[in-house]
Amino acid sequence: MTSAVEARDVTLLELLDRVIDHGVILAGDITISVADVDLIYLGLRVLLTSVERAESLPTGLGLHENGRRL
Amino acid sequence: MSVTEPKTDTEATRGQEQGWYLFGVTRGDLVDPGVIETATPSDGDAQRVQLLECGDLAAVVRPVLLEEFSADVLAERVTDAEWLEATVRSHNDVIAAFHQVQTILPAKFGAVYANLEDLNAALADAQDALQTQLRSLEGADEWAVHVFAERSKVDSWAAAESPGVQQLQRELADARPGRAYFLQRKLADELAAATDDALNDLAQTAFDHLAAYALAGQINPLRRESRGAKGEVEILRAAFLVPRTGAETFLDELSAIPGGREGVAVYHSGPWPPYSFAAFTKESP
Repeated sequence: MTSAVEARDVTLLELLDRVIDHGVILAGDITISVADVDLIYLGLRVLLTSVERAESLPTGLGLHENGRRL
Repeated sequence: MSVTEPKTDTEATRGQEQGWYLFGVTRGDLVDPGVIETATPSDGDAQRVQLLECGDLAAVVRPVLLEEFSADVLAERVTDAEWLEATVRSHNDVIAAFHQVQTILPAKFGAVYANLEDLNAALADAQDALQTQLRSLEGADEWAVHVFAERSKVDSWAAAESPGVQQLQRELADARPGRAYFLQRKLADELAAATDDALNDLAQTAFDHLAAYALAGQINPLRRESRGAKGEVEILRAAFLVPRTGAETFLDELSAIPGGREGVAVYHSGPWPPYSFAAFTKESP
């Protein structure tokens, strides 16, 4: 695996972390009910965890793209 | 209150049941109207990002086919990593494009509205609360911070700073074999507890230190399976809302976190749109 791929995967993990669990919810006729959304988030979490395990979470390597190791 | 509806019934969705994917809420008066083009992927009119204006606010939406976002379809698709990545990135790309030029309250991923009138009404009802939230996020970015620690190295300095561990070590040095075995076990427990305390203190101190340079901070649940490049254990996973003018100082302060301790590493990513600080829900006042 190249460091570029690792960086991409970890950036995705960071992105999922932000996008999945957070954000405003407005009232209305949402096609996905809140319960369904929770199930979907659960599915995403499972996938997220499996990606982490598969990659042994090279967090530091990935974060070199936007971050830095001290 | 004026309501300007976005263009409906696009060529790609004509004749099929259409819904509206909500990306977020922003000010109705765009700082840069070109942001619509920047935020829209170049793959056809049906994907065009539009604004649903309501008073001083606007919902950033895009027409989608409802059948593509049904619970059944989504339940199947969430196991498709390629689809998931593309959808999550697309969600972020639109929000990030707006975040570049003006404040946006990111919406929760996957919110598709079947009924535009409902979305209009929700915007109108929540006008004041949403405006307050937008003001609180103005000029600020989210930064993610992860602190990792190598437990074996933390053991060393935790032991040196723990009176209980030091006492047991002294007793162990003079103990007979039978008592030594008992003391060894007690020492291992004491050391583990001292290391746990040290890691908790380190995490809390790191969070408190960085929070002083941020408008807000949030500690997120750890994933125990998370490992750093050297097998370190994650001890703090946090998000901070940092004013853009203070970002450099905030990032400089990351170097203060290890505090000269060995085995402590800090990672960060950002700037992100303020996902973790967009707290409004329909239950909010």
